[in-house]
Amino acid sequence: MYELLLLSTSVLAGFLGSLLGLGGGIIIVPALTLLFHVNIRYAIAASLISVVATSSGAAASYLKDNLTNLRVAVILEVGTVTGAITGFLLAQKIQSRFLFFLFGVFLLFSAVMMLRKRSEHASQKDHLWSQKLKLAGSYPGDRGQILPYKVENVPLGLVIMYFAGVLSALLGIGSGIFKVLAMDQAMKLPMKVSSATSNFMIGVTATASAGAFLLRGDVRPEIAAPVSVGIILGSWWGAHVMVKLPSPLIRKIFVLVLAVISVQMILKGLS
Amino acid sequence: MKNDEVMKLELKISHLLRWGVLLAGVFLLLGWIRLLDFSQNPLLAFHDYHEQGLKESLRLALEQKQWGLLTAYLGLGFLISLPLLRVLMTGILFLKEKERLLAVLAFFVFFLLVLSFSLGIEL
Repeated sequence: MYELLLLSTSVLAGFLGSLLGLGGGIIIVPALTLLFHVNIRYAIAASLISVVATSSGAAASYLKDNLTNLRVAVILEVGTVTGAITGFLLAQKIQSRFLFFLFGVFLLFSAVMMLRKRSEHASQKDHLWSQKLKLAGSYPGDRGQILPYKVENVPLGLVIMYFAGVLSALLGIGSGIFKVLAMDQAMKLPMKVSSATSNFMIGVTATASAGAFLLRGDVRPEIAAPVSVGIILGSWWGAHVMVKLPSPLIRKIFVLVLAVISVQMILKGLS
Repeated sequence: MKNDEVMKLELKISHLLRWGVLLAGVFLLLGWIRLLDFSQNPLLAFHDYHEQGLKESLRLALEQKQWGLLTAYLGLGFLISLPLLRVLMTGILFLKEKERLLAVLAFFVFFLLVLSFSLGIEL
C-alpha cells in the first residue's frame, strides 16, 4: 500500500516538476521526509538518482532544439562536478537537522525566483576564455531567425557552478535554478540557451554525488526504484501535457505551497 | 561546420542514453515489483539512518537470495554509468575533431566523476 502511495507521489512530483520547470527533486525530498518519514539522507540519495534518470533520458531533446551550447556545458561541468564532490564530503559531516534547514531556505529561494520576470538578452562582449575556447554561438529566435551571442565572465560562471554542484549533492536536487543564474546573469547567455544548457548538464552533476552515495550504500532500491520510475513517468506526462507555461494563477498557488513546505522544513531543522 | 558535426554525434549519443535510461528503468521496475510486500510498511526501516555500504548490502542480498533487490541494484548501477559514458564519448568526439583543449576538459570531468565514485567506497 505504502509502496503504491510512494509511486503515485513520485509521478505527481515528476509531473509538477516538469510543468513548472523545477525538476522532481524539489518536491520529492520534502514528500519523502515529511509525509513518509524517510530519513533525509536516504531521501536525498533517492532524489539524486531520479535527477540522473530524468536528465539523461531528456538530453537528446535539449540538443535537438539547437539551443544547448555543448562547449559551455563541458567547461561548466568542471565546476559543478568539483562542487558535487565537495557537497558529498560535506554531507558526511553535516547533521540531518541542518540539511532540513538548508532545504527549507532553498525552497524559499526557489519560490521567490519563480515570481521573477525574465527577459531575453544576448551579449556582444566576449570574455578572453570564451574567445580561446570558441564559446560564442547562435540560437534560433521566435521567428526562426538566427541570433548570435557571446559569452561574458566565464570565471564567475564557473564559481557559481561550483556552488550549484555543492547544493546539488547536499540537497539531492538538480540545482537548475543556480545553473541558469550563472549562465543568464553572470555569463550573459540568452535565457533559452541558459535553460537548455543547464538541463543538459544536470545529469552529469547529479551523477558525481549519486554514484558516491550509491557506493556508500545510501541509495536504497526500496525507495530509489519507485521514486525514479515515478518521476520518469511523471516528467514524461508533464512534458506531453505542457503546451505552454502554466497560467500565472497556478504558478502563484505553487509558490504559496512551496513557501508553506519551506517553513515546515526550516522548523524541522530548528527543532 | 566542425561544431555541427560534434553536435550531430552528441545527439546520437543522447539518443542511445535515452534507450539506456529506459533499460535501467525496466530493471528498477522489475526489481521493485519483486520487492513489493503489502503486509507491512517497508519505508519504516528507513526512518533512521544506518551505515551500510553497497558491498555489504549486495553480500546480504546474495546470501538471502533477494533477487528483486539485486535486479534493482543492477538497474541503479547501469543508470549511474550512463552519464559517465556520455562524458567519455564527448571527450573522444572532441579529440577526433582536434578540439584538444575541450577534449582535455571532458576527460578531466570523467576523471572527477571516477574520483567521486571512489570516495563513496572509501568513506
